[in-house]
Amino acid sequence: MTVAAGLFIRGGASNINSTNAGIESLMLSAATEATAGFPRENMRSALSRMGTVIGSSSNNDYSVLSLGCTRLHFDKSWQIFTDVILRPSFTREDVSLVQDRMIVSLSDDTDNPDVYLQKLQERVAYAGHPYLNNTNGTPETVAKLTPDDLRRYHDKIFETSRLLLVIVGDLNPAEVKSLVASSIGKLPRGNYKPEPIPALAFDKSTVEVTPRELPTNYIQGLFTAPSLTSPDIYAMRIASSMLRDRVFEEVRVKRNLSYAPDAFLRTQAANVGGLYVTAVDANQSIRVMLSEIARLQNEPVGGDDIQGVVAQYLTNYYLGQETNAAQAGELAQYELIGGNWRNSVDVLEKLMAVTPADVQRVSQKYMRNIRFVVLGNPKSVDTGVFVGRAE
Amino acid sequence: MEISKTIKQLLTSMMMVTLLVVSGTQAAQTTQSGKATGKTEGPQSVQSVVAKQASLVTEFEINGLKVLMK
Repeated sequence: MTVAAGLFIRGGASNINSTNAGIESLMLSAATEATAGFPRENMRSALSRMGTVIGSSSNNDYSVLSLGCTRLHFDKSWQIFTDVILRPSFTREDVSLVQDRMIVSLSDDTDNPDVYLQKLQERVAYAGHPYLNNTNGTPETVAKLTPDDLRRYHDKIFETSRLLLVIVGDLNPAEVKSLVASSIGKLPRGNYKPEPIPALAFDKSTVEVTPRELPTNYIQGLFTAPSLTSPDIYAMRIASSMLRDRVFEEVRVKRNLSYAPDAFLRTQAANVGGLYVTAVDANQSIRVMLSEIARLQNEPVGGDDIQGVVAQYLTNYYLGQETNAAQAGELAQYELIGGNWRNSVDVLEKLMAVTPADVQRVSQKYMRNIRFVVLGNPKSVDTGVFVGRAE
Repeated sequence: MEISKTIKQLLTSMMMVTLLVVSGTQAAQTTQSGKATGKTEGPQSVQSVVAKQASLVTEFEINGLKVLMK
């Protein structure tokens, strides 16, 4: 039996700015290296002996410091986990090590076309929005951070009003309450009030081409999408799912234009969906994909098709929820950006209530004004094809 | 041996953190290539699943810190 815990920090990209981007990621990562009670070698030895994993990660809306351990070793693992939160060492050596690791990772972002495509997409889609400040930072912003910066940021950010603790495992709630009260519960309360993240607004379709000599073109386009708190999210999930199936069939299976066409719907507070494809014939691929959007907008889908998507969702949902860590992540996501954790348990019921008219309506409402980015050969891109439809 | 152990631990760590941060995103996405043909559960059983899932979660607050336990 295992236990998964996550201490989630609200704010994400809203906590940082263009000069300190990456500070939250670096602070959390450096905190897991050593603490006052567990110097580096002791911590590594103890974690390794128990098979316990403590890690961290960030996205546009929140960060997490996570713990994964066996039930047998929960008490000791919890002790280390809370020391990471309450008394990180931030030694110069540890910070320097993690900092170098992050800088190296960030520095080669332009080498991989897919990673670079996402960077290009962020610049276009998130211009003027808090999400433009990537929570992982840039090589320049991360390089400037010092151990003192991390200590100050740690003291500022670890206030209970900004945090959410999620624990999944075979534990007694009364005992956990006592453990939390004597550790994380002693952090300053603060007066953090989450501010709603501004919605993204795209007023027209655009395409920006970044020249690079590649065997194929890497293409992605984003449109705005409903957030988890919007009633439209359920119909949009069905619509996005159908679009994915259809572009796969039309672009890959029928025409062999690409091996990896995709339509997707993300899950973030200021939400987006989109299209992705790698193709030599960029124009034809996008023409076919936009035609499929138009078909969703103009022709009602069948009720059986919706039932099929819901059945897929049910299977994928339970497959994805098999681990304690996944269940903790799901609860946190809904609590932090989905209105309330309770909204995570009735998704299936709401998907089953979606009608063909709902799917058509959300396709018309959201699948438009697409912001495309292309990495590849500018001569292979006819701008009119990209911006001429789905508007 | 030691290197493979370290790599294994690193991968485990990365997988767990990824699950915590994006698990909901993955679960929310509904598609794979091809169409599903299975039938969905009836409304009655869905409602009972919803009620059971919700009953497994305990929530409390300590000094402004919200805690969810499942």
